Amino acid sequence: MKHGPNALIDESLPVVCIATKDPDDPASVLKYEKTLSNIQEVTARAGRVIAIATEGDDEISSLVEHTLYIPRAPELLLPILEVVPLQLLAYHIAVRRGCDVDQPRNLAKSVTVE
Amino acid sequence: MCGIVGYIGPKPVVPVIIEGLRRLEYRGYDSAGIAVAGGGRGLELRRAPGKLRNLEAVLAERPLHGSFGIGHTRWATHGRPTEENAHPHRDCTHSLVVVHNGIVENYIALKKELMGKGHTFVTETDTEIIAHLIEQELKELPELPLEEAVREAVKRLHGAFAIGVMSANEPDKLVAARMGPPAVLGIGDGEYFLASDVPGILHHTRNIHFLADGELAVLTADGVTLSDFKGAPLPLKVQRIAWDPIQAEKSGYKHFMLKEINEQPRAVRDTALGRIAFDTGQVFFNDLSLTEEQIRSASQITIAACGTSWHAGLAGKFMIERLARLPVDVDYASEFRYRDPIADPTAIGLLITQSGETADTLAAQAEMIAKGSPTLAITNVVGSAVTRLAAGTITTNAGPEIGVASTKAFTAQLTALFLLALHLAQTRGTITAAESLRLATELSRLPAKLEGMLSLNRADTTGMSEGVAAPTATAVAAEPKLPPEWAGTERRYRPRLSLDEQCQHIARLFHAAHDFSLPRPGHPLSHRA
Repeated sequence: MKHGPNALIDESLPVVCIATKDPDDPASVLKYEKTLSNIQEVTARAGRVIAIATEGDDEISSLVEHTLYIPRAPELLLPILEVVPLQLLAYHIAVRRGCDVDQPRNLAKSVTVE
Repeated sequence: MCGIVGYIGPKPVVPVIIEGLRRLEYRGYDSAGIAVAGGGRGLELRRAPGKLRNLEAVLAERPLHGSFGIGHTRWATHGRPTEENAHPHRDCTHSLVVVHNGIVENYIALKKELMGKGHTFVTETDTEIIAHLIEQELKELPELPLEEAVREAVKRLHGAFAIGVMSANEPDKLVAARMGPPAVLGIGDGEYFLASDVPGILHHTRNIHFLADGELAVLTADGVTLSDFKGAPLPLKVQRIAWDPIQAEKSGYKHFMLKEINEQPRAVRDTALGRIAFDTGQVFFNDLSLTEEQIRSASQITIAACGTSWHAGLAGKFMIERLARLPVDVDYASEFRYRDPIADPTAIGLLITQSGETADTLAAQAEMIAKGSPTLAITNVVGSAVTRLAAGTITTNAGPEIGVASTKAFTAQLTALFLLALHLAQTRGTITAAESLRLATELSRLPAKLEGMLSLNRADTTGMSEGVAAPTATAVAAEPKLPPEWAGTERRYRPRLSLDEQCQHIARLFHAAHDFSLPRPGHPLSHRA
């Protein structure tokens, strides 16, 4: 964040943070703690944080505006769960903005030309 | 993900089935086939590779007539999409046929057993063994009604299946059974239907029974009887479906994307299915074709992919490096070949492409092969271009994805990458047996976790099948009914709100607060050309 994106943050910028952890995996917990510091940086600048967090993590919801919880899983499997709230967010934002959800403009399903 | 349509009734059988298959073609279109009986000429079969219109051309040349029949459009999982591998599949006597949606996990063991009993197999499919299993039951007890032979056969199957079975020897009877993939029964006026999904029969009847796991149905000209796999009778629960045909194709969801988001538990499950020994956590692939020595002596893995598949590759790098202790490079396939990449026979190339036809990814594969690297492909389409040059293929079994923004194909790719990482680690000896088993077990828990995350208000949907639950999702998606004061009290409400509802609520924040700057008229783009 400090390398650039911090400059964008104000009260009108929603920031989605993936702040999950596998409590049994020290490397995962360490990364989680670093992410919490990043979240503090955003909220200190009035940014609005939506956190994707692990079930049982009650602490994080006091730091952020919204928390979307996913079930616990080993670190390497977490992406399969984390992506689901992100998909739903993308979907509902697109619907609200009146986008063609199933066929976004200028795109094709399979890019079979260079 | 295949499409099944079966019919018993007074109308000409072939048009009913072909029209139904056309409406299910979104479920798969590698090949198609139809079997019809009751026309006085025993059981007759027509099949063709490719889209449904190829089958129609065959039928125009060699028409079929009868009083009952079943048809199938295939989405290949085991065996290439050829005419030979197209459903329906027959037994040795050619008097009974099976159509199947799903994957039989223990088909190799069953095939060996049946070959030992003298059965001859003519296809590469897992489905063919079902026909021979039923034939074997009937051989041992010739007086057995077809449905009892099917009941015995399904008890032997591990994996996922929705099947339709008919026999020339028992006119005007269709037998259906389900364990996993969807199947519905249509109750018409003197006519009865079987289909993989509501759209296949909606233009004939709106009275639908959603076949549940463990149910076996017998359709005759006089009606439908339902029982479980042990033979205990069950009541039919007929529901009236109010969807229009377009809604039906989306299972009642407002968009394919939302439907496909909700199909992820199945996509992940089907991708892992049959590839893990759950007592040891050992991962095996049918079509990997790399020797153990190649895997052990590999110097690196180079992943090349585009778009969503490239993002899956980024996660794959973490999985492979951490578990198999093998360096992984992830390249954008469109740039790979222009930088004279370092590749040799000890570097394994890994291409990820859901269609298997992505031009840039195929070009990257050609570059890898030219430099002597063996290539592996992760793709959702069996027999696609990328698989033809690859030394090995891992199919993702997500079923056709219509929404352009990838959802279930992506999570299936992550699942395939995790399986590959585990397999490489096991072969290279970089993981303990205990950790292998733990991770494999955790992977097998993901479909249930995904289901939990995606479940709607359970009180509304308990006991209803996936298709029936869908209109609730539409209603929720169309009209968020969250109280405006909810924002400050999420902890009080959270346990009672689904993830979907919470995301709808948060989406407001993005809509109101920020104008995203994707390209539009007057918007300058910077690009390093």
